[in-house]
Amino acid sequence: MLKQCLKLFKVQLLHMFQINEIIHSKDKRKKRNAILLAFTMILLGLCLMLYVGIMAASLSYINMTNLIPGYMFATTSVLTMVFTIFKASAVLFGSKDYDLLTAMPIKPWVIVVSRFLTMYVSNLVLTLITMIPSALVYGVFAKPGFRFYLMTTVGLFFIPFIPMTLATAVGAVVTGISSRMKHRTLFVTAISFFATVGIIVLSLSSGNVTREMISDLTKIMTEQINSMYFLAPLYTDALVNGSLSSYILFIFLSIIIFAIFVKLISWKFNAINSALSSKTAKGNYVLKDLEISSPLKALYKKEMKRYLSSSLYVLNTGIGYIMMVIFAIAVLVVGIEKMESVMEMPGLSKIFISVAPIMLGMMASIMTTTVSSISIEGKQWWIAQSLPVKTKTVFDSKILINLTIALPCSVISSTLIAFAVSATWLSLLLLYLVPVIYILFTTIMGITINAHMPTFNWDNEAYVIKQSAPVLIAMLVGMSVAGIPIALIFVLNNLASELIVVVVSVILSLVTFVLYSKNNKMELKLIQQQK
Amino acid sequence: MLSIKNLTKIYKGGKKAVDNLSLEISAGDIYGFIGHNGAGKTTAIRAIAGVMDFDKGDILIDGHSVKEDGLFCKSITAYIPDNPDLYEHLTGIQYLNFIGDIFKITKVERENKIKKYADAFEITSNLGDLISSYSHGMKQKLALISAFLHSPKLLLLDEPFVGLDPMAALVLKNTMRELTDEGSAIFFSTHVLDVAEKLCNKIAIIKNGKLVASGNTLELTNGNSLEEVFMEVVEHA
Repeated sequence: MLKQCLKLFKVQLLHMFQINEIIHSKDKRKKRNAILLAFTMILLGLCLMLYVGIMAASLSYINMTNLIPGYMFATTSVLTMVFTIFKASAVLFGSKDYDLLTAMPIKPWVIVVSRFLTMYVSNLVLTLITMIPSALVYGVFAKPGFRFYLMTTVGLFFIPFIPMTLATAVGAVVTGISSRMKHRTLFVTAISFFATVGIIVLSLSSGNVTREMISDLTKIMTEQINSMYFLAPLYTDALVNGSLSSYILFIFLSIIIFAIFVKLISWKFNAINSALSSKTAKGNYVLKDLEISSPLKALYKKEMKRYLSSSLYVLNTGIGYIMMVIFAIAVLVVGIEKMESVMEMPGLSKIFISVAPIMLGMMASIMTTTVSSISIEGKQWWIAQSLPVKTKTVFDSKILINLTIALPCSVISSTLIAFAVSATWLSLLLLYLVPVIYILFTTIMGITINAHMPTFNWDNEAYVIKQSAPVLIAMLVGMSVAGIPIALIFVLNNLASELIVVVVSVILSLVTFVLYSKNNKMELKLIQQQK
Repeated sequence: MLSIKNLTKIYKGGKKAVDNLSLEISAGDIYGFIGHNGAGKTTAIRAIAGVMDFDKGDILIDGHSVKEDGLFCKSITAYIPDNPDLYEHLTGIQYLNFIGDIFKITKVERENKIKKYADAFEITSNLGDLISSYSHGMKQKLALISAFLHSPKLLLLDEPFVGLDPMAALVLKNTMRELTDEGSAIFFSTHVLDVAEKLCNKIAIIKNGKLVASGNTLELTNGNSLEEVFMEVVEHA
């Protein structure tokens, strides 16, 4: 059984990292893309490691070195939960190979564990990225013994288990309930969204309450960390105080909770999958009057139906826009001074009106529907290729989907912030215009990246929505185009901030125009997955 | 109607999927395209349909090059791949209406055609259901109806009989004859040699990307069965 599990895991890894395509493909472009993806991932990882290292070091400088292991452990666990909750159900239950596998003499738990391991790999990478630099910083400042390094190294492999299990359990319960519902996409989207916002709000608000209450900062931080994730005290006790019993309890809990979870999921695995694959078919249709649309409108309606049919797609691409609105509401309700402390960005209130347009732009740039809109067509891509419509019309329909979601959120957010802060007419203009420029840029760029790196032979939509190269590259580009000007404004201490915003906006507008023109000159038949 | 001139498609890695293929398909022809698995049938059909680029040669549909005037060629062509993956999140009627919008078919014409073909394929009552709930055969029927909607001058079908029940296969054959009687041309691949022999007025046999035999069905078989001719030609080519 274990052999079967490892075999399945290997097959999924081959697919996830496109290893076979890279080895067996005779196409140089394919290999180039793989190298580009690896480079992007390494770059993202290094940026995150650097950020974590700086964060850990700053804790040491304010004499809170002992909080580093627990703080990073709690943060990593919350991040793992957030990242897993969206995709867990899709990975566990949404695969097209379900029929193939269940027809084979394989026990459900083998399939469940192999799928779980696939998610575990990506979460383990995140754990390594966050825990290694923080452990090194702790090592430099606290000078712990060999035992710390041994316990940290072994413990790394157990950290993702419980957060992943909890997130997957939530996902599985939601999927289980929704499998009997007619509007299952809507239900899954709403529940997953509230769960994610809940995790983020809870982990942020825990420190906010105590901040003003107590003067002992170490105590505040300890309380904040402990309330962030219930296992944090145990981990801190094990690593900082060298408590072997706490350490063994942490490992034991990780294994036992995971084992119980696998047992429970395996028990209902076939039932949930069968319920999900059963379709409602009435078979009583009578021909009615048909509504006539233009080709663009017809494509747009088709795209919108595809978008709304996947809760994973809606959640992953909509979260940035919704966070944008929540952020704007928070600014209006809570006030910018308080936001400064919640976001741990000292000096934010002074330059807020300058960076607000780009901050909104950054949230809009986290994810766009367009970056996976070509790949998501999968094996249906032949339809778009064979239709007598221009490339521009096909791309415009995909662009319009993102704009339909993004532009109202952008205008609402800008308006809320405009009410919250006092601003000059130029600042107001930028507040409305800049996020729109960012949205247009990321939307068009999403098409460009996906058209150059499409994946059509996926068997789980989570792959193209969450893990594919275009998504990672778009995220990196989006973060860079927003992060660089924000950093510049911070560094220059608000000097010439409006000029920076205007220059960046003009550059982005020009790039957007060039990309849009180039995209429209592409031939759809040339947008193919390389063999 | 369809003129294939020295069509060559080379895959990355150097394999010639289609090698210097030339064929002429006239209005009124039901042209069968046969060959073993991997012979290059699907690649050739995909190139004609404009969903795949090719390296050498040219393809003219009604005198227009698919390379230079692709949109026009697509507007008078209907293509159905061997395994038609349709938009599963749409209902059958939404998919047909979508195709009607793209091909700019008038309301009256599309309603009449949908009624005619959906009734013939006995699928009308299922048109309100999501395509994801359809069986393979039902998807094939829906794809065929969508192909007939705009009265294409050229119909490209890759293994159209796979998955169809006997009744639907008969409807398809009758519709193919009806369309060619009205001046359309049909080019289709099949492994069912019996059907090809009875239905097609012309046959082309392809092996390893090269055309090894083509012409009028009666002249090509010359009193033998198509199966015998196919085995003979493929073995000795």
